Amino acid sequence: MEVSTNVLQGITAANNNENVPDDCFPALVTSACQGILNQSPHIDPRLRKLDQDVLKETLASFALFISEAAKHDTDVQSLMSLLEECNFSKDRIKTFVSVFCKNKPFLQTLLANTHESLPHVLGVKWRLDYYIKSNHLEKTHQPVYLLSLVTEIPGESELQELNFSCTLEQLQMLVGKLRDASKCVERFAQL
Amino acid sequence: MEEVDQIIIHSLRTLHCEIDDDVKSLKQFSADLIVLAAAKCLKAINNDLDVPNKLPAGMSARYRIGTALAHHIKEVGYSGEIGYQTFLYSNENDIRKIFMFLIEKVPKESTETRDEPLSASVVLQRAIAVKLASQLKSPWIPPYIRRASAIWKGSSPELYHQGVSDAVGFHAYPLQWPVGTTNLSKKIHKELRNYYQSLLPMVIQQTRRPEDVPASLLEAHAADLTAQQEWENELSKAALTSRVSEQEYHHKKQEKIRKRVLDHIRQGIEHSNIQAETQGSQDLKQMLNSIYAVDVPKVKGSRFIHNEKLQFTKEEEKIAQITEATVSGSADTEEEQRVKREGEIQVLQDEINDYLTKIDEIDTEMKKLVGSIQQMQEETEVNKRENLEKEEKYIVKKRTLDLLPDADNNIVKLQSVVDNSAQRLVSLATQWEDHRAPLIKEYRELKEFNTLRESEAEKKLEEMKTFREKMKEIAAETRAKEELHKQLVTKYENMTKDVNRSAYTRRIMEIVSNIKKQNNEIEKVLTDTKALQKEINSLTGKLDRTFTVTDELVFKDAKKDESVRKSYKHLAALHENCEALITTIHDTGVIMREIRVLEDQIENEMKKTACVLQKTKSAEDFDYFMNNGKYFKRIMYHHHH
Amino acid sequence: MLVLLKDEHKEHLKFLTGVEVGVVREFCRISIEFIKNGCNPKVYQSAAQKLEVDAETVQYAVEGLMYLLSETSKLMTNEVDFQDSISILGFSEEIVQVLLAMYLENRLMIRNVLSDMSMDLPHYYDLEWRLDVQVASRSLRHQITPNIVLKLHLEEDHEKSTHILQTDPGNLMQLTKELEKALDEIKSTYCRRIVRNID
Repeated sequence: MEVSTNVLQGITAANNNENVPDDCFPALVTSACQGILNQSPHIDPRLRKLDQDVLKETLASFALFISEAAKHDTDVQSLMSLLEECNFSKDRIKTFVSVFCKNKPFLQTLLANTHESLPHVLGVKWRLDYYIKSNHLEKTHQPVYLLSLVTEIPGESELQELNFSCTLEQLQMLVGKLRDASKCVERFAQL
Repeated sequence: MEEVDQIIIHSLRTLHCEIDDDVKSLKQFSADLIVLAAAKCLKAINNDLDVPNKLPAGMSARYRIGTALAHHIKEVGYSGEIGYQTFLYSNENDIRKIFMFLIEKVPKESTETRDEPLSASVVLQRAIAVKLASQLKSPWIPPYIRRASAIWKGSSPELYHQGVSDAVGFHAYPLQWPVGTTNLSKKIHKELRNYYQSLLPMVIQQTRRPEDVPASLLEAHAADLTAQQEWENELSKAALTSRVSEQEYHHKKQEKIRKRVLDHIRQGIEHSNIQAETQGSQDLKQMLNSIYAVDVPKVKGSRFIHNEKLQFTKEEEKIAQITEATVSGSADTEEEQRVKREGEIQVLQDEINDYLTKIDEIDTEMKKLVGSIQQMQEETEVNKRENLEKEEKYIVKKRTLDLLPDADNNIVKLQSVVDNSAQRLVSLATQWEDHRAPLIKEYRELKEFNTLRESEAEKKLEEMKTFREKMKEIAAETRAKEELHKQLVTKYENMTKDVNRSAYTRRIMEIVSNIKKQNNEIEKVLTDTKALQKEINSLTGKLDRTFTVTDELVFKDAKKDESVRKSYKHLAALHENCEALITTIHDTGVIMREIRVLEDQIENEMKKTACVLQKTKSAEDFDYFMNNGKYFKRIMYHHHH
Repeated sequence: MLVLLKDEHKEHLKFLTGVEVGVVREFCRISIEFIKNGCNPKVYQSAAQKLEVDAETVQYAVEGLMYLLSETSKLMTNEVDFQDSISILGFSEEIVQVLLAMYLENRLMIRNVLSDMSMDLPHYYDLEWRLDVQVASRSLRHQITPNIVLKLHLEEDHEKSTHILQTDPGNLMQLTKELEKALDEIKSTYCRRIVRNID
């Protein structure tokens, strides 16, 4: 994981007891995590006594650092050595690591969800009709399946539906292909 | 033999032979199972072979399959006795031999690959397989009761996706945050600090939608990092071509960019002059002003920058003129007033300048006068000093003059005084030396000690560095090892735990120890036989020797005495007879051995035939033949009639 | 099922009662051709000249034949009913046989043409699939997210459209299972009974 000098500078600034006293440090790291997770837009009241510009810099640096670490799934060891190089005390490193580890699954869930996506098929509704006659043709007598693929499009609250019809042969073909795909997945899972 | 059977059965199971769990030994193998197992083994050895897995019902077909199997096994290299009867009327020992041979021949790819280190792609593929398996195993949740599309699941939690309801596109907003607020070496402008403190929102509150915070953060960091790297690259390139400091390069580049911007804008203004709209050009002018207002670097003493600045201001004026020309048409009166006011200001400025020059002149005069005062003072000082010296000289001369009348006496006195002082000087010098030597010594020692300590410290530093590196290396190694361990553990867990393994090894150990014991015994027997051989050899030697001696003695006497001649003949006959006896005994031994081997063989064959007879006699084969016989009889009967 | 011919229609077909079998055959050929590929008015002119009648008469006769064929095909009229239906026109037995043979020969083709004309819903045409595993993304490195990408080709009125979708393994299994159930449904006794009763 590479970290820019600006961020390192900000993190190192947080190490100074005059800038960020010991009792504020956990609140600072937690606020950075929570800020990324959009859980609390309000800043911890304990942090109000800090210089606002320092707070903004350190908070931003930690937020950037934490998001980058979550993205790379950086292991605890490397994080610790990185902080050691910034001369952090053992207590502060421990605080940071514990807060980070607690929040990492949530952060990574969020990051995993940050992606574009095709319409995602969630299920299918089907209906079996028997086609008897139309205005042009009588005695057709064949089964017709009406299928409706239920899809989810990210960012849209309603589920969408893709409707189409199948004759028996067409459905057999469709199911054959889907079965192929399922088999393929199952085979791959057993490797 | 049970152990061997278990091993065989286990191996057969790994070849996907369906063997019931209660089958414990080869004795329980039915003819069908034997054929199936043999066919599987042959297929595992050579995939192209086409051998049926099942025994058909028909007797002749059974026979054909049996011979085919026997033929294939012989082709593989089996040297023992084998035929259709081996499969159809099985004998436990034969079967065991055949299966031991076949299982030995089955290629063991799986064991070979297992020891190779896992390549990255294999690891990835495994991980994918595990993931897919876990996804397939977990239940399907209808979308309307699902809370989140991505959740952490399992004992060692893993992200699990179903649906995309929470997916958000990667949409980044540009973020701003203060940099270097605590850096004392770089002052931040007061207004900027003010902006940072009161107006700039927190970095996590700068996006329009809260979901975009992570994307924006990642993007901001990437941009920051790239900018930094690009700048470093550029700087290193610049440093290669011309040696400039980072700051100088920075300024140079800033100037260049600003100049280019100005050029462009000026061109634009000139271009649009024809259809100049006052409003537009005023806006432009404002913008230009704002560009000038960007803080021009305040580096003192750099002539280059100074020059640039001069050039710059000239350009500025030019632009101002141009823009003014476009503006003047509309603001006539204002312009006049401004000109007037400017004139007044000019006059006042001139006056002020006059006064200023006058003040300057007076100042310089004053400075001159102060300087002359100082000079005077110095002169008086010098004079005073000269005076004092002269007075001293006068006193000395006066004393010498006083001493002159009693010259000799005084000279002696003076001499003694001089001698005294000389002696004192010498003693003082020696004393000084005495003090100096140890001090110098001490100084040197201390110095040496110091350098030693320094070098030691350096060494320690070096050591620390190496240790740190080693620590990192070891940490990385441990991580890799842990990873490997995890993999191995999972692999181990995934592996089918065969109970046979321990039995296998135990058995092998036992066999090895048995073999050792047997070896020892064989050696003992061998030594015994050797000893016996030796004894026999020595005895025969002795015999030979005694014989020759007696032969000689008797032969000598035989010439003289007739009776002795007779005894000599007897002796020769005795010797011959004894030799014949020994060879006979030898031959008997050989024959005995042969007999024993043959007896063994007979016994084996007896057993086999008994077995086969029993099998054939029993079972449906007998019925089959009987039926066949009846059938043929019937046919014959039909033919007759 | 009998086809009831309208008076006007009967009038138009009457023309065919007075011509030779060969001419009827030719007319049949023309009407089948027209049903297949659309009308060509020039044919009427040349036929009219040869037979020395009005072009209009020829046109009516051909169109009458076309209508007769499409109606009988639409209803899947059987042999006997077909003969009964046209018996009212008073054709000679030979001509009736010619018409019947033509009807039987071309019935399937005509039904295909008719079914092409029928209302068409977007229907399945083809499905392509692919197993993707996302191993890293811009926002998260080191991940394993399997996805099955589906490219569904649909067809409506001979125009194809494609839809690109995706799904996860769990949903794929579910989807397959559900559609297999749908396939099995048509073989159920209930469905078979209904089908039997309708036929």
